[in-house]
Amino acid sequence: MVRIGFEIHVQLKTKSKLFCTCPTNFLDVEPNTNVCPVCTAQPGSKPNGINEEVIRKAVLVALALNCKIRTEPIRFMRKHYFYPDLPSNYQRTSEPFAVDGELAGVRIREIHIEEDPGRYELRDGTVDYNRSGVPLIEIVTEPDMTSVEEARDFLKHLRAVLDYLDVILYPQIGFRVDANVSIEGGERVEVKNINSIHGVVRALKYEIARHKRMLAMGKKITRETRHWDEVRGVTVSLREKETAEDYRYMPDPDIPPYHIDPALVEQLRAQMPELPHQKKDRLVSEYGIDESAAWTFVLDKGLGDLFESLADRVGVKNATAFCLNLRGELNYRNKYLSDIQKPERLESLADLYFSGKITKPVYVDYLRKVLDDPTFVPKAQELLSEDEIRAIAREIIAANPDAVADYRNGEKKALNFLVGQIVAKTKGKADPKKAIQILRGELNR
Amino acid sequence: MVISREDLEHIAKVARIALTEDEINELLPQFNEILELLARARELPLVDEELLSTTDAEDEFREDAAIPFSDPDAIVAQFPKKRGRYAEVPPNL
Amino acid sequence: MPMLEETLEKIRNGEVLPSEHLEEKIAIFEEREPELNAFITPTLDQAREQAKNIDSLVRQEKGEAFYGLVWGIKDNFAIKGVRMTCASKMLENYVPPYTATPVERIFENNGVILGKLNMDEFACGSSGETSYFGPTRNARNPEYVPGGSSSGAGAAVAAGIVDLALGSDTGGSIRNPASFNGVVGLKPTYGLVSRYGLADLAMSLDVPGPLASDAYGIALAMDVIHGYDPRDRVSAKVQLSFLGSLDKFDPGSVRIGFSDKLLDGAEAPVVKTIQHVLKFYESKGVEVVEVDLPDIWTAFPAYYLVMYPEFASAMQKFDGIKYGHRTDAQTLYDVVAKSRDEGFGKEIKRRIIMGTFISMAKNAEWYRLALRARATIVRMFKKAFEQVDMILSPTVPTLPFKLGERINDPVKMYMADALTVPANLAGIPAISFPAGWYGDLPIGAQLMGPRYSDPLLVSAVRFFEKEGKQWSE
Ligand SMILES: [Mg+2]
Ligand SMILES: [Zn+2]
Repeated sequence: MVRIGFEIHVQLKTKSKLFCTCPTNFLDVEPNTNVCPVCTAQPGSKPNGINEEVIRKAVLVALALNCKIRTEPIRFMRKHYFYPDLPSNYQRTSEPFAVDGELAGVRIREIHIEEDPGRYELRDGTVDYNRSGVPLIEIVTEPDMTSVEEARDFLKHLRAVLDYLDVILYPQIGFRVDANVSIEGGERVEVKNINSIHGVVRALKYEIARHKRMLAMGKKITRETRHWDEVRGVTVSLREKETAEDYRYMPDPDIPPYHIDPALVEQLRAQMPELPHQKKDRLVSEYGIDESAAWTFVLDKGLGDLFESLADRVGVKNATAFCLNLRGELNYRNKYLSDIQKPERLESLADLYFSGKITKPVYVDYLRKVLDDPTFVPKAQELLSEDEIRAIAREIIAANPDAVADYRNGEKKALNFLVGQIVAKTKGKADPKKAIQILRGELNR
Repeated sequence: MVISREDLEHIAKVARIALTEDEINELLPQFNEILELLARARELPLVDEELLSTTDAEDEFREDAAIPFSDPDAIVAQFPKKRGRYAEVPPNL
Repeated sequence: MPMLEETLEKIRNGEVLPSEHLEEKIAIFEEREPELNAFITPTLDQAREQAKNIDSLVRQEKGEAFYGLVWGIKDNFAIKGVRMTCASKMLENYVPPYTATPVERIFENNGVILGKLNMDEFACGSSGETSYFGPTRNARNPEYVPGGSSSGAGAAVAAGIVDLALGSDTGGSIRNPASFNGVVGLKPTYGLVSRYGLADLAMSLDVPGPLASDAYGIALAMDVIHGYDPRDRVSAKVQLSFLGSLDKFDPGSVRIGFSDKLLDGAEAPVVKTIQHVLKFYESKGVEVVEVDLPDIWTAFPAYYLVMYPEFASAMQKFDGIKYGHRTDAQTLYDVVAKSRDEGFGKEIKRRIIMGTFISMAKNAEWYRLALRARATIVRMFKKAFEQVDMILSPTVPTLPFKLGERINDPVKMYMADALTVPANLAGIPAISFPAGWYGDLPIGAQLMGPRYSDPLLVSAVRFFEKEGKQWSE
């Protein structure tokens, strides 16, 4: 039996870092510009107070994951290890502020707050401290997942919750995952540094297959930490030196223990927005769609929102069809709706299609263009007049005597073939319904 | 002897200090002398409480306001080795 | 040397301009510095520039607290644009991008900063001999050590090169050199003065504080540098008045605690000095109460067990990547290990390795032992201060010793801190003041009080300065 557990690191959406006032937009600035004495560990600097917004967002997540919030004093610990991206060579990481939660059938062991290190590009040997000190929460699950599918399902649910709470700093980055995997007969292996749900699925598949192979060959699986190499699609063992590191945990003498005020917890509980499972229930009862379609929509926050907006405009049936189709295209690209630039283009696309201003083949073509080309804007096509279609239909009839004969002999398929020829010839500018009407008329003349 | 030569070599590695043979020879007896002295605390009648700090500061949170540091270039200027605005270290392939 | 109050008064009433005062100090600097080595980085040009500006402010009667009095700053406080070495090769060329809070307040109050003062490397030492820039010498007798780690501060104040100095005290680093040089030094209540910009030694013990030739200077300095700072999370929201209570010492309402235990192992002139001071206060109506300090010697092992791991943690940041000494090598590990090996002096390595050892997971018992010993000390003082307002002791049990005498015997060197470390562990204020002389060697006495009794301690010293006489032999 496979057992999978996760440690998930989420960068929280705040304006400033955890212990200093540097801005958090590390992706959008030149290297080493969002830096100050605190987040680069200049001698003599001290952590400023804990960012209040970090506490608020962290507690919100913990509540959404049905955790118990601890009200006793919580200490920030120093976790010592030498690494170029860690300016003080220790990471400030709090004791758990929330415990014993649950999401999608997976138990949440604990959640704590910590600071993100900077970025060390291993291949270039360059270090950028813009990210150093960005607030993180680490969500630790119990090893409750027993298959890759369950693991993926859990991460999708988690991602949806985080999106509904609007707490992720850069949605396009999402979260970072360390996965624990074990199979019966082997020790637990930790795979670090996985940057997407898709990556987790690949890494888990790779690792489980490796474990099975090892056991089949009569080899032992020992407890170790491995690194996920996204480019090569393999996990690599980290040198023993690094796994044997003694972190020498010590309470940070510069940060007095913090308390989470129960009044704050209640205030946040009252402000909790609608969560995915609540929205799922509402979509089922309000729109009468089936449970599985509702889950599909709500697990991508943008898609759920789009569905609701479209249902009012083009009807529930059309909206459902459109959104399911869209989900398929997004899956193919491993994307969330929020990854798509100018998503309002999707609404105009649906409007065009369902009001008959574009034909189905054009819609299919436009949808892909909207997803793949951020500059593409769908516009109503100029449809051909009936006379123009009739002229082309006559050309097609003249050019395909065999098909015409087949049709007249009662073969229905021949009609489809001829319509296809018209659509191709008109490059989709002919409404297929009209084309069929006109073609029938011409053939029956 | 509280710590052995091997212990000391391992500790120095964890502490990232490349000790020479001479330094080890000098430090080892000093450590043991100091540790034996400190071990005396074990025999003292101590209270059953672990005190970390003596601050009276309240655990106040800070408002989430982004105020960029006035002189990031002065931080970059201190990098002993740099490439553009990056600090440079050996690559790890 | 003129009393600080008189100097300040002359500047205030226009008799002496800040620039003129500075030139007097620079003259003393030129004369004594070659022998004392009290400074690592003098900043004469900046000081002259500053004094010139203050000249015009004084004419408009806007001199703030200091009116151009001359300061020296221990070289473990950051001043933007001025090299901060912590007396280490590691930071030989480090220029901080920001200014420490207490220094900022000194600038704002028109203190002229003459330079960065010598010290023991990263404040680790009690003799001023571990500086990468060479030892400082005792201002009263250059064959002797000045004490440490604020060695340059003690010597520069005693020699009259500066009016005031900013030091830091983790286990006695202000009081020890104050005692050895015959000046006053206050280790304030933990958290009373912001540590923002003070390079770490042991974070739960470190506190900045002033050295001055007399209690007035301490009060003048403290009124400026203390107070809440949001950038230091252990900073207390407490505002005290030092000058306001300076002359309000009322012997009839004060009880001084004393225990013979505090004289265990002290040299004879030190014992005589303390007995002399005790008699003085008693003669003026202070009630002297025998207090029980059963655990005072617990402080010594407790201090080192707490300090080492905190120090090792603080020193992790030095790796040759962001700033400081860098030894280039092929691998990341070697860059860090070699930079640290070359950049740090012997005592620093000794402490880092001890601290690393104690904080390793398998040695957690050692660290917990330290925290229990610390709690024991805190309780002992708490109990004592239910009976008395202050406790008198020697600052250092011994007289100043000669340069080179103890540098290779760390245990003996550490013993010098035995009576100063208890105040750091308990977070309470303690002041050292000149109380006796053995030939040309000064002897300091120490007063410790409960948290936030700092102004009372300063006023008690002031009272001794005005009404008493130093013991001598
Ligand atoms: Mg973590
Ligand atoms: Zn910062």
